Amino acid sequence: MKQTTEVDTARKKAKFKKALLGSIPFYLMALPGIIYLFINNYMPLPGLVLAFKNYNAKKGIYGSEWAGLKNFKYLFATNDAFIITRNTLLYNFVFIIVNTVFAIFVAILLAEMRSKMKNAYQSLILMPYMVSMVIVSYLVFAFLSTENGFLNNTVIRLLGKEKISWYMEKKYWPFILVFVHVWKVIGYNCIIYLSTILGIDRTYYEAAAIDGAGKIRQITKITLPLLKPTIIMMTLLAIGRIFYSDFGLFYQVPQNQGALFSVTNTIDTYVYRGLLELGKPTLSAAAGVYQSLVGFVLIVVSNLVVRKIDKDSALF
Amino acid sequence: MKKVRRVLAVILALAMMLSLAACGGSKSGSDSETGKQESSSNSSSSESAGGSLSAYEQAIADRKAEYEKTGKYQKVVYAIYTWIGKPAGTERIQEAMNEILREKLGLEVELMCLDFTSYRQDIQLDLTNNDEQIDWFGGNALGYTSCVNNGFCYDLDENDLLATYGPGIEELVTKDYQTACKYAGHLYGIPPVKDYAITTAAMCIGKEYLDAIGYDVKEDENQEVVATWDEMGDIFAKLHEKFPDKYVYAVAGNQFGQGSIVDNIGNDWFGVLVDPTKDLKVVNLFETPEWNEMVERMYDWNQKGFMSADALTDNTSASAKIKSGTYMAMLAQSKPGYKSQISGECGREMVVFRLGQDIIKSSGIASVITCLNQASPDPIAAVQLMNELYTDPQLSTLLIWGQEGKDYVADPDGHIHFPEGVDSQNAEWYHTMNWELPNQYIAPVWVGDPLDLGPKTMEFNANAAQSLAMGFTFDNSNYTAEYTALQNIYDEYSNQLLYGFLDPVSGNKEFNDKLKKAGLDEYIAEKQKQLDAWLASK
Amino acid sequence: MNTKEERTFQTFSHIILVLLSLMALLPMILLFMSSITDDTTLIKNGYSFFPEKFSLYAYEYVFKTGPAVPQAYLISFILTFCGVLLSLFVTTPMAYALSKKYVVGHGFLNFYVFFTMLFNGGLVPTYMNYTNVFGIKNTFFGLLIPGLVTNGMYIMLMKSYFVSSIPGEIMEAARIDGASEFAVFRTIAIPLAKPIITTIGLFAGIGYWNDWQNGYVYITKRTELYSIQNLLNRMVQNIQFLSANSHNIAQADVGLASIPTVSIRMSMAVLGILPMLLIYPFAQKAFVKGITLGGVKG
Repeated sequence: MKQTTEVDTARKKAKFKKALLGSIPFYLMALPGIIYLFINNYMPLPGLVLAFKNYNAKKGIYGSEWAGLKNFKYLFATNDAFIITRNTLLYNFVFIIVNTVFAIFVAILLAEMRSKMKNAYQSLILMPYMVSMVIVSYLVFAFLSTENGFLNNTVIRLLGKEKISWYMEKKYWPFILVFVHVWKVIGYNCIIYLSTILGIDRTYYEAAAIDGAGKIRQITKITLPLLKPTIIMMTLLAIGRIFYSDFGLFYQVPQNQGALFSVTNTIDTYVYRGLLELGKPTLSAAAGVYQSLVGFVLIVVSNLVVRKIDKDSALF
Repeated sequence: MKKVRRVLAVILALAMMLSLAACGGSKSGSDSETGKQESSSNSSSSESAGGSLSAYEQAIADRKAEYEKTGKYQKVVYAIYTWIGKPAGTERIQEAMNEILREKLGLEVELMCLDFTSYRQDIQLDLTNNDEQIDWFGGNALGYTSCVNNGFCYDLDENDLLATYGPGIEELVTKDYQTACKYAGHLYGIPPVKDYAITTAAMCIGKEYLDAIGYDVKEDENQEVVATWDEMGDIFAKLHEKFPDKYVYAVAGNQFGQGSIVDNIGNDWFGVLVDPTKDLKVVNLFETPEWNEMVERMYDWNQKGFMSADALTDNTSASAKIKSGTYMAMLAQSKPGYKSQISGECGREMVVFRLGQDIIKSSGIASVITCLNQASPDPIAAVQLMNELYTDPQLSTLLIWGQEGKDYVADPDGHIHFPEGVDSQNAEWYHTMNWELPNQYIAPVWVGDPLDLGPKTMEFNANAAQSLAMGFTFDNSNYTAEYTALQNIYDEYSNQLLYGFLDPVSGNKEFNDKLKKAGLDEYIAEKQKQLDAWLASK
Repeated sequence: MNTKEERTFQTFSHIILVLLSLMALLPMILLFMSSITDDTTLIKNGYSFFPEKFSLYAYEYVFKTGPAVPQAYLISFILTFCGVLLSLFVTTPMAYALSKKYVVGHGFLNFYVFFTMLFNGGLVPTYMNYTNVFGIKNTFFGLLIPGLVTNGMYIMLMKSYFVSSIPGEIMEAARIDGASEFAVFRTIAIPLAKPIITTIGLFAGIGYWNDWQNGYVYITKRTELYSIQNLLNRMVQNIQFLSANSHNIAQADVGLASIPTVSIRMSMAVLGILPMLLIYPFAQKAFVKGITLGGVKG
């Protein structure tokens, strides 16, 4: 009895040793990445203490006095805390769903495309991704300007309606922002899914076709299930950043218009407006810590759920 | 030390590149990440008690002696922002300045010219880290208050530094003006010699449009027309009638700051002095008659169609709008020589209507300010350099306009302009940043400005009424939560109200309700408390 | 396989994709048209597909005031080229290693990467680290290194691809045949991972091409190292600063009056994107070829 356990542990040890030896090549492969992330992300990490300090240049980051949680107060002690959190969360939630659905839809269309036009479509759809948000905000203004905008001068005029002051009417903006966001990132997102689809073994489809499965059936039975890991991955990653928002989208595209604040103010824009004049690195550090921490908790929880359901798709 | 670090970086990247070139496979890319913080400390010149020499001269003698020993001059770095980055002639100008400075002060200056765009971030990072020597920097670009709060600035009063080594500055920037830059009794920066006062509410209207409605322009000796807001309303109505295709009024940012004498003490609008030359009671601006009057007037103007429906969203500058010929009037703050300036900017002759008065607000003097880095290796040398830049016409001219013959030539009447073949685009030294530099009035005057601009400006400053709170600074570090909330609400409502897009009565009420809920009253009370304490300490 | 369903599907796809392409293309055309519109016309009439008055002045202005434009393009090309290669070199093998469940410490390794996606020290500490320890300020590495893997996302994406799309059996078979792990990675994994490598390469390329922030932070003195986006951004924002401070600037009319303040934004956007669009198709082809060759050669 005792002996067998000894043998067992010895065997386990040997096995472990073998696994360890077998792992060495992989650690070598990961080494540049490990080193890089260590330098780029882990070495500056102690700097996070800035969020808990009363910074003074004479004493340096680490020598400055501790401030406790004082730097975080401004994120919560406000009547707007609810609105900005709600906006940030809701928009991100909608983005996750809409992005995923549209990107997969377009990716499938592109993947199944037989024509040479495929590459042209792909490049064209990717184009908005390369334009900065500031420029996008001017383009949006070209469409929505009250006096000279396209919508007012063509569509609205043709319909015989009164000019609309787009930047004063908050009811349109949730749609406008979602539209602009999707328009900008759809090319990017769809390429991610496209690469996964292109990696699917074509023999699956051939076999299905022989069995008489039509296009739609092939898509629902082969493509979508095989995309699942990527979808889960992308969603988990998005959840990790759910307290962040694209500053350009929520600040520059609505031209920082006061009338729209209740539907455009997010945590990032709120913080920005406050810190513009204050210029305190400690306060922005605190906002970052807060956003990251929430994202971290959410992602760990969702990852646990994913692990329960489908272990292979979990992040870690 | 620097070399070692650079080598490290090269090794790091090379290791990665090399193993990449070797086509995947095995790699040995581990590299140490050692290195020490560079301390930029430097022994400052010893202050040996020189017998007959004054402390000022002694410091120069010490530096020269140090040069004899080491062969190197003490370097003072002056970081200035420009809108064209580092001009091509920087090294040449710097050398020309150094030829004078080596002899006169036993030191060398390094001009660190950065784009304004990245100045704030670059300087802030450097002041935090001090990896590169910076002595003087433009505190206003980073926010003077925030510089002080972050501890970036050297106290110039410490050991009478400024008084001992900057007598020329003391003379030009009088005690009065110095007080206006103090923070809790410490002097953390000095303002350049410039216009500190403003003429509030200067309405500028294109002359051709006024002629068209038959308005008879009668300018006074300052090339201004004294008028009232109501008269503007009448003129606007006529302009609107005469030119129905054009917009009358191009709105500009900061309408209330430019348009009234109300002093937004502490650099925010939450608690102001309505009549800063007489009354030191901090009040809520948004419930004052001054605010209501402005808001109602603008609402009225907007209703009458004087403004574009896109006024809030079109962020093209007002002068560019007028230049385009679609707008006719704009609000600005005036100063001596403003008419020719705004006319040039708008591409047509403009008539400046003076609706307000001359005033120096509490922030007027410190709004452009030069600060000394607390980690400056040699504060004495730094102050002595600055002293020369304030007082030596030759140095000031070099710094502002460059070298005669190469960067500018002089007319017989004293005006200067570009030499043959040089223009604003190919000039090697033409940054037009005079207002940021120590003393523009000891340098020659560029064509287009009156030759007596300097004396006129000094007179303007001297005659303007001063805010009683001049020099008061508000420390809101215990009220950042309130401030952020208030600022967000302010951004939400202020422009809508100020440009007449929101009902003045109901909109303003909503605005005030929200502000109060966010802690406006406590914020104002704190401001009053600090103001009273500041007054008592004076 | 030319069934009726197939034909309907293809037609449907074309319609949708043409619509989407138009939606992307039209604003770009508008962008281009406004960049060649006279500045005054822009302020007067707003942006238009058929401007009243054309002008190339904005471009003229950029090239005249920024003699460094060609140099900046060169820097951008070199940077993008090196950046793509280097980030793939870091990303690909690491992602591959992460995809192997039997590696000891697999969970830890994954967490090590994942953690960097959420937390970093922030700008100031990162700057201090790079400047004081590695001295990359005012060197080409200041542009190259800080954006290398931006965060772990690309590693995770690629890992997910390795897990889901590359059959373990083939690799197992090769290993039994005596191939080393490195050989398996090179000859089997990389060629099969072509789609994702191309994608990540493209993303890295766009990232490097469009990056101007690192130039703001790490390039303070050596202006010859400005990348094109960095240079253009500086010009646009400087002009904004100038017009915002015009009341301070005595001779503003000389500087300001000649600047096309509105059209210049658009021309700079065009100058920033255009080369990328022109080169992208060729670069992609060469790139795919490179991966294929690399796999076969190994």
